[in-house]
Amino acid sequence: MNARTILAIAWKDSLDAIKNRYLLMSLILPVGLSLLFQLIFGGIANTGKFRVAVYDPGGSRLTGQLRSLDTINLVEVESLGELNREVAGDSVGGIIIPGNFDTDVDLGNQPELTIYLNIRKGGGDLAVFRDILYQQVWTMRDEGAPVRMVWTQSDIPEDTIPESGIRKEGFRMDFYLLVMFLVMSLTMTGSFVVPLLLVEEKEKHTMEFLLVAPVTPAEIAAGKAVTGLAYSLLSATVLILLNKGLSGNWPVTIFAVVLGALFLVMAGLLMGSLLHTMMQINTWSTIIMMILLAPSWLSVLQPPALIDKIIHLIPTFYLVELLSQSLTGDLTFADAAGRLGLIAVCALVTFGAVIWVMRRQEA
Amino acid sequence: MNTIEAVNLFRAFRERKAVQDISFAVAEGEIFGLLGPNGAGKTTTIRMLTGQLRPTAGEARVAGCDVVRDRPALKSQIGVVFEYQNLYERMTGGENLLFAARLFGCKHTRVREMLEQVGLADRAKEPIRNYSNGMKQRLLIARALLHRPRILFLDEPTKGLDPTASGQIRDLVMRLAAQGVTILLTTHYMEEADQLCRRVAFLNEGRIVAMDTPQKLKVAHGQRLVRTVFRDGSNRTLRLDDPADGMQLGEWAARGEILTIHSAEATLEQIFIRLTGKGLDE
Repeated sequence: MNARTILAIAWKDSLDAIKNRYLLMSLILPVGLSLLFQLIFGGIANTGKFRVAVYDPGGSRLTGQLRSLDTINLVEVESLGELNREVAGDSVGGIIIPGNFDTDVDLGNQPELTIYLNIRKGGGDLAVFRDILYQQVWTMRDEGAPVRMVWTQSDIPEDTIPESGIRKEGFRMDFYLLVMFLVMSLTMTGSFVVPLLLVEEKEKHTMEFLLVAPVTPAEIAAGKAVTGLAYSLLSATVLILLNKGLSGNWPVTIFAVVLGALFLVMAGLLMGSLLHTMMQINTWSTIIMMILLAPSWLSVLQPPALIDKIIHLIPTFYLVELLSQSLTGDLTFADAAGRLGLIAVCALVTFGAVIWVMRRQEA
Repeated sequence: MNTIEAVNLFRAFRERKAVQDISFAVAEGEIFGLLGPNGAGKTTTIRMLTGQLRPTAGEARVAGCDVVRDRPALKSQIGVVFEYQNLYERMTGGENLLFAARLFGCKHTRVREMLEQVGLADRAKEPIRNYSNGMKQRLLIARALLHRPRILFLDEPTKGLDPTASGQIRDLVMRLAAQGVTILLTTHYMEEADQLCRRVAFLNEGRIVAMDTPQKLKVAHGQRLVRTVFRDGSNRTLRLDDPADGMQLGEWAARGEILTIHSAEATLEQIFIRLTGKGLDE
């Protein structure tokens, strides 16, 4: 492999891609959608002061923290019944803080913090309330997740809240959207942009020029992979910075994004090696993108058991799971290692398939 | 010394035999033409000689390199102008050459040099999609020559070009040959081959049916004819190999009845039709 030729191809593709409206569209679409959603949710949420009820028989320091915030009008209630009435009324949410909460936090026991949401208040207010509460909870302990947050709706008993894989405790719409857009961005770059870079060379016969230049098919693939990875990581960085910044366990997030991008770029190379026309790309990319994106869409639903089993077979399921948990900080490297390894293995296997297809075509 | 040698070169695509046991050699500095209609096997032959396609059987050496085993070395010795104008349309002319220069490891100053050589230096910053077909063809030649190859393969270099652009390309080819570059070109324009090539090979259904200099082919396969135009406006074609026609011509000349005499030798196209029974556009 010659680094000079690989970089030359990556340089050409980068230069060419920014002049290609299809490629440009697929690169900026997730970022644009993210901005749009942020505008909708953020715009609604950033106005006014929230009424929040808290039932805190033990007198936790968390209540004190919340009381000191300008953005919250804290109502300290004396009973669960009163809390329910508040949540059914004007409060955006109600928090139940167990008696020995502070001690358990300090000991690292991760006590349960139950939060009732008033869904009538709308997504924007609820998103900001969740954000504020998260920020306050995370200041209570330096290492690891301080509490287990159980979010529920005001008029639904807690035991009916679905709990599985991605839909873990502490679901947050803002993080959910960020994960969805991250996976969308990586998938679009991998399964559309990368195969397009290869197929365009075949369809416009520029591949023939590359093949008489001192370049091997593997170097051509590597050049495309470098371009795909650069675009993937650039759009992922923009998305993260535009949204939550480096929140939660960000080293795990970065690892997950890099490995996810690698796998999806390899999948794109495989598609580009097998397909020959733009029409084929349009058809197959759409189908494959739908499959790869399914775990991020289905993560807030409660799909039937069979569908749930099927989405566990899609590598992006584990990417969604990793990102969802790492962004909220509920994940350590040790917890993530298995799933990171799985994505890395998927990337390696796909890379092997790319090389096999290319060698067959060369022969 | 031969720079291209093909021996029993054969290529089949499943059941279809595209090139069948062709053998030929091209000397250094020669312009050699592979002539034939579409589907005759010209492009397949070029693709095998440039290492893009493995021959099913036979062997070929180009610039001393085996086209199958020595492909990396071969690539630095050859330049290829393809039948398709395969440039990066969204990039400028300069960027296209710069990319090629990076792949071949050429100095960037060479880009400007080549743009000037093909008369495109003042259009270097324009996107390719604004170029005419003739300009694109000149840029393709510039790209193929960027790394100073010893051998240039030109696949239908004037296809689809207007007469002015075709003339410019032919002049460029002649200049390159004068500089010592060996050129193998394919074309189905026989006049072009006649004008440019030292030797030509007629390719039909994957086989070479005749190979020699255009002049010798005309002598071997054509008839020596003259067309005589008389003062009264009438004309007649006479065969120089027929003694009776020769005597008749002498008499007319003695009587001063002849206005002009034109050679009317067979064209390469007529010879091709005579040898294969079909035209070049079939």
